[in-house]
Formats: sequence, structure tokens, C-alpha cells
Amino acid sequence: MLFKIDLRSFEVEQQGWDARAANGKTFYTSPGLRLASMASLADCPAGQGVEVDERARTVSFGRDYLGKHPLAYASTESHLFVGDEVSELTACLRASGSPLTVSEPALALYFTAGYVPQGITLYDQVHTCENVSCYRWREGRVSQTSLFEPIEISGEQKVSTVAESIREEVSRVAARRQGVDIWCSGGLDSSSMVQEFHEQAFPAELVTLGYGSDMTVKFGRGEASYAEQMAAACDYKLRYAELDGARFRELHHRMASGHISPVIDNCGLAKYALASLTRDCAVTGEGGDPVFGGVKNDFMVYNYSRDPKAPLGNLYALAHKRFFGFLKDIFRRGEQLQDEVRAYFKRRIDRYPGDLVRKLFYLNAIDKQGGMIFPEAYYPAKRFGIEVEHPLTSLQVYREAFRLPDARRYVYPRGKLALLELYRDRLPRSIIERKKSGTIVPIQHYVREFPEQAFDFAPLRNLNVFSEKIFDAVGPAALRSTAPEQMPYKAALLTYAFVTLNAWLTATGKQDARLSA
Amino acid sequence: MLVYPLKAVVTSNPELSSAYNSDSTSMLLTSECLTPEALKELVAQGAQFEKIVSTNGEGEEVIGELIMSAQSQGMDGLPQFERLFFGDGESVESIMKQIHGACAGDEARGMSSNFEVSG
Repeated sequence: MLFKIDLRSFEVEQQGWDARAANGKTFYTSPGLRLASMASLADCPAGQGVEVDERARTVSFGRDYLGKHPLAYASTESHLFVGDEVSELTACLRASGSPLTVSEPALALYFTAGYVPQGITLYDQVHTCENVSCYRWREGRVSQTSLFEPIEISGEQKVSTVAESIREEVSRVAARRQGVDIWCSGGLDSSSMVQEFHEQAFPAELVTLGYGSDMTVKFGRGEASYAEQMAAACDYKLRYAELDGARFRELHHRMASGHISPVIDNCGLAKYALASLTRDCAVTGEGGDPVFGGVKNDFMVYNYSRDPKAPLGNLYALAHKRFFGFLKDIFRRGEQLQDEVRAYFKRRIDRYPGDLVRKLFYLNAIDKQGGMIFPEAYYPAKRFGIEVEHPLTSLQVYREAFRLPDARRYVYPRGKLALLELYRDRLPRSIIERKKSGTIVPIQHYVREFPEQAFDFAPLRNLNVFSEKIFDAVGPAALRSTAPEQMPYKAALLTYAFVTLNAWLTATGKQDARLSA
Repeated sequence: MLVYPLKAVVTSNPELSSAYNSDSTSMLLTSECLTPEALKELVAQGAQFEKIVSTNGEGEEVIGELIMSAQSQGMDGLPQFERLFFGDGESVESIMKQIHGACAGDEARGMSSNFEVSG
């Protein structure tokens, strides 16, 4: 979907949008979406929209409230470009003669968080649209208006009301289709979706991640046995999306070249693999952690309780457990970048009301889902021509869940309390009691699958921001010097981070980008 | 809200405790040294540890009680236990490195979920 408007003539050129005129304005929306106004994005469950008001000479745009569908924009003096593919926007800029520059703070955020947060991209000239927001171009300037509405906690709110909204959402998803494929890891979130479909007798099959025979011999079967237990318990067919070495290479190339940003997250590739095997519509268990309070608030709560004066921006940067502590080794200006990252996260935390736990709930449900989780499903779904639905984090479920007192969802160090209350007696005991593992991808093995040219870091070197030594640490020689079994996970992940960044910048910037001045 | 280290290291050694508790790796691992008495107190208050590392046999009594209690209740919610023994001449740095290795466990091998903070 690409929308271009000439800001002098207001002439529009677009592909992939539904166009509709009303009240002297023209609305361009993602297929099937009806928007009465841009303000109605606050109640929009999924989709993107642009409103052109030729009389007022404004262009407004935005995406659904929680940010299931990504959107980005770029503007020049003469044009505004809005679309869901960053690579198309960079191509528009190049065609219009606008230079692309790479943002050093955005790179630092990528290595800190594992993804580039919403609102920015690695290019100074291209911005992703934040969720809970509406954007407006007027007189040569784009401004952002927050649509964020805090949710009032009610002591009267019942978990059964949340259960009802989950059930309704599952029914809505199932009613539109002959059958769905549920992406099932055998964890609580995806298993609860399997159970909902089963109890309402909706046709479904399960798709889980496999690793191919070679990788399975080296590494094991990951979470497959839990998915098998769910399939058996609900009498659903289970299919395996095999992510063997060759498939890893192919899907990594596909993801790195077309994703909204480079991502250092195991789940990203797994979702491309799952999408490739999905028939028409995937159902995920996304939302379990951010909406219901997964165990990973623990790092913040524990460290904050030890030192309530500790800067929260610093803690939140560390909490991502990527490379915040290593920025000094990665970048020439690492220490200054650490300060900028701390300040960035502090601003994000300050945006949300409430105590620390409440703020974390908002950050994870809004910032993290809109910036990383949802795009990780949207793009693989788009590439493989399927739809994807997240019933556990529908707008209605989010609102009902946030009306619960936080202690009904999370009490250190136990999370997902409401989900456990709902599904404890309905799911196999092994699923309820299993230790949470997250999606397992043995990255130490997979990084060896990268072709030699993936390590040509010339585009990154040319940016002159990285320490020269870091390229030795993530090069093929470093890989060859250690057996996968002995390779520290963090070292493998850093190699993955550099190769992915390199591939993404090469694909979107055609290697002509330079660092911003 | 009762907040405590998820990975408790049981020791009465004040030098080790001081160094370990102020170390940034310990912080990243949500790990802290506790005396056997402090461990017992937290267990009595309902703390649910992810892991308990006993150093030189300290805290064994509490660990034994936890196992017996879990066995009588069907083994739900039992933390992982690890026993480490150190010689008299071993440096605090060396001891800390071994404890961090034990506490990192799955996380260091990339078996845990990769994006933290509720997600």
C-alpha cells in the first residue's frame, strides 16, 4: 500500500488503498476498512487510513489504536508519501532526489531494544507511525496528536468479563472463515487460543515450529512436544513449519530485506516460517504477555525495589537484555548514545500514567506490541498472502483486561494470573505447569548458515559510527574459531544483529545511505 | 508486594555478599546473596524463587524443607537448586563467576525468551 500526494496540486497517486469521498474529503483506507473520521482510529481494531481535505489543505493519517497494522511516512517539500513498506518510501525519496541519512540514535536503540521503536526508522527521513496517534500534514509540517486514553481500573471488574470478550473475539474470527491455523508453541497463550476454538467447536489446525532433521539432532525438538499435547487434547491436526538451515537462510533474507526494521528477536523468523505454512488465516496467542502481564516485569520491579532512585530509563534499557551494556564496545560514541537511549526510554515511561507496574503494562501493550510484536506478524502474513488475527489482544480484550486491578494480572514474580484463572482447569496440566521458555531458535547454529557475502560489512563500516574492533568480533573468522556448542549465546546474537542490520540497510537504502550530519 | 531476588544465593560470607550484590551481572540476573536466615524468612512469607544456589552447604536445611513441602503438595512450584562448593583460597571474583554461570543457566544458552519486560 503506497499513497503519494503532490502537496502543491493535491494530486494523489496510490496503490492498494480503498478510496471513498465524503463531506468534501477523500478517505483512503486499507482494504475493507470504513473510517468515519481520523478520530475514529481510536476505536479501530485493525487497519490504516489517510484523509485528504483539499479545502483545508491538510492530509491526516494513522493506523489502528493498538497498531496491528503498521504505517510509515516520509515527506519532501513537494510530496508526502505514506505506506506500509519502508523500502517503498525510501525508493520514493531516492526518486525525488532526497538523500537518505542513517540515524545513529536509532541504531543505538536497535542494539538496545532489539528493534527500532515505533515513531522512527533507521533513516532520519522516514518515520513509522506510532499507534494511539493521528498524524496531520499542514503547511509543510507533520504533527502528531495522541489518541491515548488511559483505562480506569474498576474493583468491580470480573475476570469472567475478560473471558467473555476473548470468547466473542474468537467467535468473530472463526465466523468469517472455514477454518484457521493456530500458531501453537504449546505455551499458555497459544494453547488458550487452541482451547477456545476447540470448546466452541470451530474447525482449526495447529502449526508449530520445527527445526528440520539436522538441527533437531544437534539441538533437540524445542517446544514441539507441548504443541503435540495440545493437538492431541483438542483432536486438531498439527503441522510443522520446519526452520532448517536452508529455510533459515531464505527466510532471513526475506525478513531482513522487507521488514519494517531490522529485528534481533527469535520470534521474527519463526513467524515467517509459520506464515509460510499457514493456509489462509493464522491465529496467534499474542497479547498474553503484554496484556495479561508476563513474568518479565520482574526485572524492572525487582531492581526498582532495590533502588527506587535508580533511573527508570536505564533500567528499561537494560531490561531488554540485548546490547545496551555493550554500546560502548559497539559504537565510537557509545557512552553518549547510552545517555540518549536512557533519556529516550525515560520519556516513553513518563508518557504513561500510574505506578511502575501500570506503566509497564501500557508500555508493553502499546509501545512494544505496536513497534515490534504486531509487525512481526503483519509482514510475514503479507508476504505469504494470509491474514493474521490476535484474539487475546483485540481492542475489546485489551480494554476489559486493563480494567482489572493490576494485581489480578501480575503479582511479583507471577504473571498472567487472570489467564491462569481462566484456563488452569481447562488446559492439560503439563501446559499450565511448564516453565516459560519463549520461542526457541538455536541462534548459535543458525548464524553459521549465513553466506559469506552476508559478512561484507562495508556499508556499515562506511557509516563511521561503529568501533572497528566490533567487526572482528562478529566476522566469519570469529564464528569459525568457536564450535556452536561453545559459542556464547550473546556472541551469536550480536553476529545475527550485525548481519541483519547490514542486510536491511542494503535492501532499503541500496547502500547509498550515509550517517546524518 | 513482596519483592525478592528470583535467583537466591545462600551465603553468610559478607565479603562475597557485598561484592555479589553490587555487581551489575547479578542485577541483570535478578540475583542476590541471602543469609540462610533471610532465605528462611522469605520462604515463610511465600517467596517463590526461580533458583536457589547453595554455597558450601549453606541453606541446605531450608532447601530440604522446601522439597519436603513440595513433595507433600505434589511438587508444584519447586525452584531449581544448585550446590556449589568453593575452596578457602578461591577468590571472590572466581566464585562470583561460577555463581553467575549457575544463575544464567538457560538464559545464557538462549533458551529463555529474548525480549524481556513483560513480553
